[in-house]
This record gives sequence, structure tokens and C-alpha cells, in this order.
Amino acid sequence: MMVARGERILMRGNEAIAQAALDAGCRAYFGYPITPQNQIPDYLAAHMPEVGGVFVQAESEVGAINMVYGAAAAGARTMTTSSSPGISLKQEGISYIAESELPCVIVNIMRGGSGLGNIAPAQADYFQAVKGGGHGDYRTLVLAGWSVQELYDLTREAFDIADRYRSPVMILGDALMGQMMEPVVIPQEVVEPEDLPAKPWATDGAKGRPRNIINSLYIEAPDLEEVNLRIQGRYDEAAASEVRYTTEHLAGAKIALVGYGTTARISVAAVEQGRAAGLPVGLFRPISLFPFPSGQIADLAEQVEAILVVELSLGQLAEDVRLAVEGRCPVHLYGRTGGIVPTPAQVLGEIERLAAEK
Amino acid sequence: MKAETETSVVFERPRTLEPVRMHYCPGCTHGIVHRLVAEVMDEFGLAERAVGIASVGCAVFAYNYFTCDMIEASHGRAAAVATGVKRVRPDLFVFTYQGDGDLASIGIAETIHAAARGENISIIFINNAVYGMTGGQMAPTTLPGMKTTTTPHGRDPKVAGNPIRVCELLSSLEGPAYLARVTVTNPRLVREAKRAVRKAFEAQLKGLGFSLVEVLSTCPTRWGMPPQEALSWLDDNMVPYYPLKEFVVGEGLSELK
Amino acid sequence: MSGERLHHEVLIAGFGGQGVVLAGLLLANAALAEGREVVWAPSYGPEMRGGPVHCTVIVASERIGSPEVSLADSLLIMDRASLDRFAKRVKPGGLFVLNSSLVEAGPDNDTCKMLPVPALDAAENLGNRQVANVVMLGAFLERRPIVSPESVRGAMRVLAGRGYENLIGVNERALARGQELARESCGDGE
Repeated sequence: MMVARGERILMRGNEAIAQAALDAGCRAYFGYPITPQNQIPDYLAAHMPEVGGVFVQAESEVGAINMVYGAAAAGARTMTTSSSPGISLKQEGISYIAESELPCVIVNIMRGGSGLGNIAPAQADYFQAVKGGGHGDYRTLVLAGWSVQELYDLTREAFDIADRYRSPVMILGDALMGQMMEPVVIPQEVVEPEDLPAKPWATDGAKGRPRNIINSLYIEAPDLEEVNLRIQGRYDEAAASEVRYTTEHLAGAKIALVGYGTTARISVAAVEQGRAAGLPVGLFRPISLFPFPSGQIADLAEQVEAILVVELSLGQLAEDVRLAVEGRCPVHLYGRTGGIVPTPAQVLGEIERLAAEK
Repeated sequence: MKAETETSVVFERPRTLEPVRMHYCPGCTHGIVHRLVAEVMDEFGLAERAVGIASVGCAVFAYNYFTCDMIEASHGRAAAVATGVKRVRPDLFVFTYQGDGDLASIGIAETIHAAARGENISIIFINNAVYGMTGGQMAPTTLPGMKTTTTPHGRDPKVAGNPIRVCELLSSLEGPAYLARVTVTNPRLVREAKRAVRKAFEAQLKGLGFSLVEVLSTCPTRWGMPPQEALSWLDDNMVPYYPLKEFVVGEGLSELK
Repeated sequence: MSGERLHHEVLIAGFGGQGVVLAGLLLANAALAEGREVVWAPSYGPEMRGGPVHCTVIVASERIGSPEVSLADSLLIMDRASLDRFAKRVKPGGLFVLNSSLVEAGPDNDTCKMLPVPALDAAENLGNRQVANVVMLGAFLERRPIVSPESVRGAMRVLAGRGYENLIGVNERALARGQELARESCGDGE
């Protein structure tokens, strides 16, 4: 049964991500079961065959990411999804994919950690996602949505971004974003951008051209440095054109909250309650976590008296905010961990405490 | 009367082998096996639609030696990478070239599951009972009693475990269409090895499923013996432990020559 | 239903098989059909048949901030264990709808309103124990009409989908019976 298009329907975040992959022309999915993202492989197992695509339940996360590597090398739009412990297992493969300059989409529906942790919402894989994750000198481009609709939109676009930058793109969600249902509109028609680059590098048969080699082994250091600098250049390009964020109630704000995904939703509720109580507070929400909106946050730090970072981790996002702020204003942290999701009232309490300090 | 000399080419480098110098040690049998793979690819005309997956080990540079498209996999994951390529492009011919550490130790899960799924790929598996690239450590196929840098007094199964017979292990599965163990220690056995590679590739071309040829190989450098002695050592020690035979021959393959 | 500002957070709890998730989905789909903002969220526990289960539904006229329900405006409690678990997850003045067939006494809470509904007995009288959840939903909506019964009946048709059309009738009767029970109830619901 195909999804109803062009009208508001209720969908889980995980299902919207899966549908977005189909709408983006992804025809190769490889995954391994792990809660809380199982609706993604379930959805694609049902619907990928309807569009003639490939669905493989791999033997492991390691197997899945290496199948993605093979499919991407052959030029296919491909995706794998998992949750925190499984994403850790995929890191070796992600490093190879990044260094081999292959596009793919990886979804992490984060759960409480470390270790086996639990299956409640968390954002504790922030560092892993935005700082590289595996070994070596690479990054993944990282996007985080705060609604089911945005998860759909970002996942679809992630495939284009991956193709443009020849890089893995990671979608960050969490147990709540993945499993909750919200109204979403799946567009009637998905138009692929016309300016997507061709893939002359793909290993799809050396017919009428010299052979292609997909590889991340460069024994000579100057060769490897050249590749790494080329890849770094793409990150610089992305920093110039892929930074995304939104703001709420920042006009006249003296305290700015910074949060993404679930914590941005909680924060905007706290901001609105605070504004109703006369507190000058607003929200800055990064959508692209790498490239990070550092310049915009630096500007923000010039306007406000203090920044309060709200995250489901213990100072990971706050570290990037502090690097961006460079001491222009105090940066405070309200971090919860282990699967605890704070309430808007708790965040408001932090805002009130900060406001009272002044 | 003028002496006439007719010349014809009776032996040449396979077209699918790049005309480059290989990095393998003198006496290593990798070169022979590369050649067999290339010859069979020539005979089937596969070079323009083949994707080879090199692995981590002594054959890590195999991507430099074949003229077809090549992918370098991470250690142990060649079968998963091959799965990814083959599933999205079933029209391509996909093979991996892996050593014993890669395939039977770190990559045993990928190997077994690719075989169990009956992935329509072909694997060339080099078993020389030792880790060559990293300096001569114990492999999953190191024989009991065999000395390596990590079993300096000889592999004691009570401490270091027992060798894995890959073909026997995989032959309990439904997915493989062709499984054979061969070696290349004399010209007759080289010809038999080539027939096995032919059957493995034909299994894929006919869509029959997973195929694997295990080639017992020498590592004179890490075994610490001259090449000729290594060949004899293999015949005397490895062949009794790893019998040469076809383990699985899928329907439609048995008549092939 | 339009015009007035609405933001109502509902928590539905019971054990597996009582239709907790379905009751939440009926409410969420009804709200969707009325053009409301809505978030439905499940509990995060590991999967276990017969184990404790709950879900939350937020129905609102404006954009919904936090998708997580911390303190609910209304709780639909299907069994005793769920009452123990969620007795404190309610706003002052909130509403408890209690499946009084299985929950004898309400929570010790002076500020909240109680609506005991013999939902399981009512469902059995309707000939299908499985519709106790919809009896509860009907009773709740009678007291807190955040969506119309017509929209819930429409949601039944959406969710019944493949092969369950024959169950729509008994569910409609369950919804109506729940509304009746709420009207008849002498609880201090209002």
C-alpha cells in the first residue's frame, strides 16, 4: 500500500524517514534490527520491493555499512539506519566510505548510552556524529530535525547533499523523534534537482573507459594528504552553503537557548512560557550540526547577555557553542542524560535562575 | 633456399592483468592465482562488466593488478561489499579476493552470511596458513604445531584453538552453488585450480548463487623456507589437513569442463 | 471545535492487549481529521506481550512544543498497576478516567477529578471485551470533548483498514456506551 500524498497524514518519524528515502530515489537499504529505529527497516522491507529496490537485513551493523559501501561504490543511492550502539559498530565502515569519497545516508535514532544504555531518547552521540566518529581525518555532514515533517524533508534532501559533497550524510534523531507520530504531508511529486553531479567514478563496469578504483589506501603520505585536503575542501564548501538553523523569539532576547531536535521542541515550549511571563528569552536551533552555524552563534553572542544550551547529553553541543561564542558571553549548560527528557517547566526553571542572576 | 620461420603466440599475459610488477614476495603463489583469475575472466569476456573486491592482507594491492573496476574493502568485509555491489547491479560480475585472516578470522561472519544468503558472488580464498602482511602471525588456518610469531613454540590447539576448514564449514549451508579446495603446487594442480575458478565464475554467470574456491598457497617468506621446499611442505602438511576436492557442485555445473 | 485555543495532553495506560495504543491512535487520527496539531507517542519499554504499555496524545490548536507529556491534563487508566505508575503524572485539576471494572479505588488526590467507568463490564455486555478501550475513550470525550465522536468514528474507518471492517459496529457502540456511562456517572468529573 503506497502512502497517501499531498494531504496531512499521521506518520511516525521512523516511517517518514523511510518514505523520504524512497522518495529520494534510494533503492538500496541495508540494516540490522535495533530499537528504537525498527520501524525504518520494517517499512522498507514492505515498500522497497514495490519500487524494485533492494532491502537486505544484514548479518550485523558491520555487514550493513559495508554493503552500503559496495552499493555506493556501484553508484546507487543507498542508506543504512541504526541506533547508538549500532552506529558505533558502523564507524569503521563510515570512515572508509568518507575517505573513499562515496555518498550515502546514515540515520542514527539515538538512545540512552553509554554501553547498552537504554532505549529512551538521548543526544549523547553528538560528538560521535559531528567530530568524525571513526578513525581518521574526516567528518560526516549532520542534519537534525525537530518534527516528523522535518525528518522527512531533511532525509530526502540528505541524498542530494551526499551526492554533491561525495560524503556520508548523517540524520540525527532520537527515540522520541523516531517513534512519535505527527501530521506530515508527503508531497505529490518529488522532483530531483537537475544539477546533481554525475558519478563517473562509480565501479559499475569499465566499459569504454579506464577502470575505476574505489579505495582509501594511500601508502605514500603526500598522496593521502592530497586526498584529505580535497575532502576538507568539500567541508569548507559545505560550511559556506549548507549551514541551516532557525530562530524563535530572539528579537529583544537577553537569554538565548540553543538546542536541536527534541530539546529544541522542549525549549521552544519553555521560551513561549517564559515570554508569556515577561522573560526576554529566545531560541536558536541548529539544523545542520556539521557544518555548525558557528558564525551565526557568534553573532548571537554579541546580542544576548547569556546563552543556555539545552541538550540530552552532558556538554557536547555546549562545547561547539562555546567554541563559536569564544567568550563573547557566558554559555550555560542544562544537560540531561541517560534517557531523561526534561520538561519545559524544568527548562523554564533554568531560564528563571539565569534571569535572576543578572 | 630461404629459411622460413613461422611464429605464433603460444603464451601471453592475460588481458585482464595490468602490465605492472606485482609486490608479492618471490615464490609466493598469489601471482599464479591472480593469473588464473585473469585468464578465466578473459575467457568469459568479463573485464568490462566485472567489479573485483580486494581485501586486507597480502592481496591488499590486488586492485592495482586487474584491469577491471576494483574496490578496496576494509579488513574482513569483502563479502559484504560484494553483496552491496551485486544487489544493486546484478548485471555486473562481482568477485572478491581474500586471504585466510581476512575471510576466516575477522570476516568469518560476513563470509558465512553471504554464503547462507546464497549471494550470487564469487570468492577466491587464499589459504596459506599464516598472516603474511603483518609479519607472520597465526592465522585461523594455521596448522596444529605450526610455528608463527604468535605461536613461537608451535600452535597448541589447547591454547590457540584449532584451524578452521572453511569449505567444510560452508558446505553445511544451502546457499553455496560451488565450493572447492584446490592448490597450485604443480602444473597439473594449477590446471585443476583453473577449472575450479571457471566453475565458480560460471556459477555466478548462471545465477546459481554463492561460489568459493579455496586455494592452498605457499608463503615461503613467513614459513621460512625456499619456494620449492614450501611447495613440498604444502603438499605434505596442508593437503592432508585440508583435502583437495569439490565440496558443493550446483546443478548445471557438473557437466562443465 | 475551532476558534478556541486548545492544548490538551492525554496519557493512556494499561497492559498489553487492552488497546491502549489503539485508543491513542483513534484520538490522534480524529484530531488530525479536525485539522488539529497532534503528537502521538508510545512508551519506550522493551517489547513484551501483556506487559505494561502506555501512550500519550497531545491535541492542540497551535504548534505543539514539547512532544513529551510530563504532566497530563487527562489520564485514561485501564488497570490497577497503571494507576500506581501514573497517579502523579497529572496536572492539578486534571481528570482521571478509571476503568472501574479493574480499578476499585482512585488515587489519593484531592485536586483531580475522577470519572470511574466500568469499561470492561460494558464491553462484555456489548459482546467484545476488546472494546473496553473505546468505552473509556467515549467516556473521556463526553467530559473533555477535545475531538468529536464523529471524528473518532471516522478514525475507526481509517484504522480498521484491511479486514477489520466488521469490528467497526461494535466499536461505535462502545464509543456511544462510554459517552452514556459518563453522562450517568455520579463521579466528580464535573
